[in-house]
Amino acid sequence: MANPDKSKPRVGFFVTCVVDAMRPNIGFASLKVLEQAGCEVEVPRAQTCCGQAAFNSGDDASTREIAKQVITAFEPYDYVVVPSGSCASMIRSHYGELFAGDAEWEARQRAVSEKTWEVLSFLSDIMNYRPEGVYYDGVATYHDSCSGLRDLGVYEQPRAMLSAVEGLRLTPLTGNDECCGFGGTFCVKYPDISNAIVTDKAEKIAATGADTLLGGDMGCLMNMAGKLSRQGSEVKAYHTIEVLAGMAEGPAICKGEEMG
Amino acid sequence: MSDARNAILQNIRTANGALPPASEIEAAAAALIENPGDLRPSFSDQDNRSRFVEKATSERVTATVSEVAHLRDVPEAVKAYLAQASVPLQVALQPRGALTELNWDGIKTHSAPSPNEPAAVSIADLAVAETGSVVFLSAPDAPVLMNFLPLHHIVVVSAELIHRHLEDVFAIVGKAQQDQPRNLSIVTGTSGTADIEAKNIRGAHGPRFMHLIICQKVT
Amino acid sequence: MKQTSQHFTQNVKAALADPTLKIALNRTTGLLQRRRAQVIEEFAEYGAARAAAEKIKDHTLDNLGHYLEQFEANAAAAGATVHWARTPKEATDIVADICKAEGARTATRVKSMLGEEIGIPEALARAGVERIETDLAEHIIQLAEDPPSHIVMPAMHKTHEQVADLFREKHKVPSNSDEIAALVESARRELRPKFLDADVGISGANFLIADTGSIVTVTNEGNAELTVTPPKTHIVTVGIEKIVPSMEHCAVFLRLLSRAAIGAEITQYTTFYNGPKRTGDADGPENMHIVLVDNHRTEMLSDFLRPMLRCIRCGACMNHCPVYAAVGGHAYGAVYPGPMGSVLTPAMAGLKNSKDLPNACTLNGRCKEVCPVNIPLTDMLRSLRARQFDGKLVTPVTRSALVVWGWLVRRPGLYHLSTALAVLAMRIWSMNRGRIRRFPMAGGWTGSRDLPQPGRGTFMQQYGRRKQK
Repeated sequence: MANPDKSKPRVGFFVTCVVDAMRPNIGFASLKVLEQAGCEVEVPRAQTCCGQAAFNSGDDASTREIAKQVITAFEPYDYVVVPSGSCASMIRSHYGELFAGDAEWEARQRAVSEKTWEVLSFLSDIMNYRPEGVYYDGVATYHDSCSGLRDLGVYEQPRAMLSAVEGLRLTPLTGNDECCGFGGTFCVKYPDISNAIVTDKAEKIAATGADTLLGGDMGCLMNMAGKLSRQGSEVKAYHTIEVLAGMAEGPAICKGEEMG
Repeated sequence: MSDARNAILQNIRTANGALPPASEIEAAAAALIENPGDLRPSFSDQDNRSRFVEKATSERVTATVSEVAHLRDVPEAVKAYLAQASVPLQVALQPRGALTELNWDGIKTHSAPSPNEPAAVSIADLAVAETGSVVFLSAPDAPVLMNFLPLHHIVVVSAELIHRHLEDVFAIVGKAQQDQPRNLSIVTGTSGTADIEAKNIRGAHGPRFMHLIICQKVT
Repeated sequence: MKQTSQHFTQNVKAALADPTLKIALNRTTGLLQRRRAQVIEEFAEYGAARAAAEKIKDHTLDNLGHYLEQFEANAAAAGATVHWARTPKEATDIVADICKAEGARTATRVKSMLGEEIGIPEALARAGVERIETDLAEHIIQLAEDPPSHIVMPAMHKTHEQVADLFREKHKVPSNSDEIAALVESARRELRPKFLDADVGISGANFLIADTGSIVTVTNEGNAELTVTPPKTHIVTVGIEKIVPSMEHCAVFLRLLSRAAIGAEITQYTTFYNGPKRTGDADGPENMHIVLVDNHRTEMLSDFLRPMLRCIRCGACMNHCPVYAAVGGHAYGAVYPGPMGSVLTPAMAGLKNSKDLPNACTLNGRCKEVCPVNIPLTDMLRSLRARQFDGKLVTPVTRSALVVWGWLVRRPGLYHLSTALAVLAMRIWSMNRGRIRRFPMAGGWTGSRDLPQPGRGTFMQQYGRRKQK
């Protein structure tokens, strides 16, 4: 893999299975901002999923094999950057639980885990990135997704970067640090409980009066936007990186688009 | 019984492996609380008495406070409290010489609290500034129910017995088994409950009102 | 109580269909969260105290045999009789035998979850001893014949209006008012004479102090002291994990317990008991019995569930759990609900009888965050899922789906092709409305929320196209 500019950090971008399938715009927005921030970004073809669904379902053997694939694909880079707190946390905080006693893989895993970052905290903490000349017209409220918040400490970073976006005003969300009821496979295994939780969340979002909902995890955003859409709400949901990239002009999550 | 005992202790041994000598265990336990100051609220800007009063009268603890110079002034303070609380001038007195020997003229006193005792007077053995708590050590002249049956609990607190933290109170009582009273009760305000819709209500089973009389000197 | 954790999904349906339950839960959980947050913010040393508490518990568990034997010797020196019980049956037999030997007709009881765990209420009924619950919440659920729904506030599932109706029906002199203060007064009137007349007083213990042999109760109501002082006999049933080395160690936990449980710096009444009545004492029990209960705790000691033995039963995990807030405590169908219960119930009742509990969790981690002894609840719940998977306790459909998914994601080429096809299918299905209302086999999702319409191809497809340009 060529590295034309040695001064730039080489980032391996892990798009995540959910963004890959459901919202490529988040991926492209990430690439754009990472490059603006001065990174050399590559997208390894050998990536699929981080294995979180298997891990949280208790299938440790499959997870281990999936993790090995991720580790192998991303070993060559200076950083692994992921547009999701929960997938980043899977690689960074949980891969270590899989290779206890296997010295070779433990070492390889640790090296990859340590250089894995959630995109918003990476931009803010490592690249000291602040958006310039980015505009978004709206009042947004912010949901802090659980893994990013609790495992990785993502809280101030998105707010700091969003404060530099012109035209955007942030208004606090009651229960911003409470789970939205997504929980990966939880939402389809226990749809009634998940619905009760996301119904509460949608009420709190509506109560802010904001026209936009922002967050850092497509799974949670899809859950909340899906509920808001079902209720007929006008609130637009975007991943924060879409706003930072100036790529929140297209349809919001669960909103219609022009026929292309 | 001994079967169960042996089996439980054997299971523990199997899980934990061999134990180090007792002296090592004790040293390790002591090391865990070597610096208790790091593990508890500090209030370096307050002396014991002002912290005690602040906490005892806080919204959460709800005691009221009056102050007297000498123990002999306590009956007057009790009278004043009962009068403003519209309680008949009648109290159960902890059967402790320091209290019973005072001049209670004008107040009817008795020693055994009745099941629905309106008011009782106790002397606190110690007090804790950190939490605004009073401490009772049970004894022949300090029955336990005296502190739980009355609706109005009037407690005499000697200013010099207000200690800074819970640990200071434990140190005064003593560490060994034989140093312990039958009951050591740390009482912080009145009987409360949050069992219905988490709303704090006073007077669940024990006292609904606590009045503290801080006494400069108990001599 | 009757174990119904195996019927979790039915229990959930019933709970979600109960609008009054939702009102009761909404009135309490938010309040408890705010109170806790405030009192912890005022406690600058909280982080250090929490870390120390974790270490003290781990140290005590590492040396559990030493401390239990030390406790036993000191409690005996204070005049108490110490009993040991491996199982709930052994423990309740000991309690029943003591009641019989004393000729007891009535027993007052202070709320203790261990007592519920081993079935004290049922054991007293079998022994023909009238049971009088003195904790207000336990009094409410005794009258209502409900099981507890929370470990600190067992009647959390009841609104004050429901309590008012219940007291009007059951109390001798009920209150006319529905005000909470009037309901508390009504219970005081009802219970006061019963406290003083009981033959036996039964309590649990929040802590056992090894180097003094003390048992410690922590209450707001003062009902523990009123329960165990007047009767001739005081029986304590307590789990062996409740032990701490000394009173100074206990102080660290006292500061954390009440803050985490109810948002107070200390509870109103904390009492250390050392044996029965002494010469000259005007009150106090003549006999004190302490029953040390294992009930699967020594199994947990040699297992990945070991950190669960640090638990001090504050209830903060359930007060901050979105699932608990949605369905309440009864849905869990066990004595211990919420996150800590979802770990404890499989350990005590078997994973087979509680298959849903480790799974009915979003792994959001707030329970661990608020835990005053830093128990990795979510990690343990996930490990229980792995134990289920390895033990073939997951349904064949789930298992096959996982296996197929695991196989597919390890073949990137095939994976990218499959996702591209799936995305295309969803796009066609969505008819370009931006969202999908129904989708084959996705009823779990689309039953209550929309799915977004995917973009024009997957990210990997689009990225590939751009690279080729």
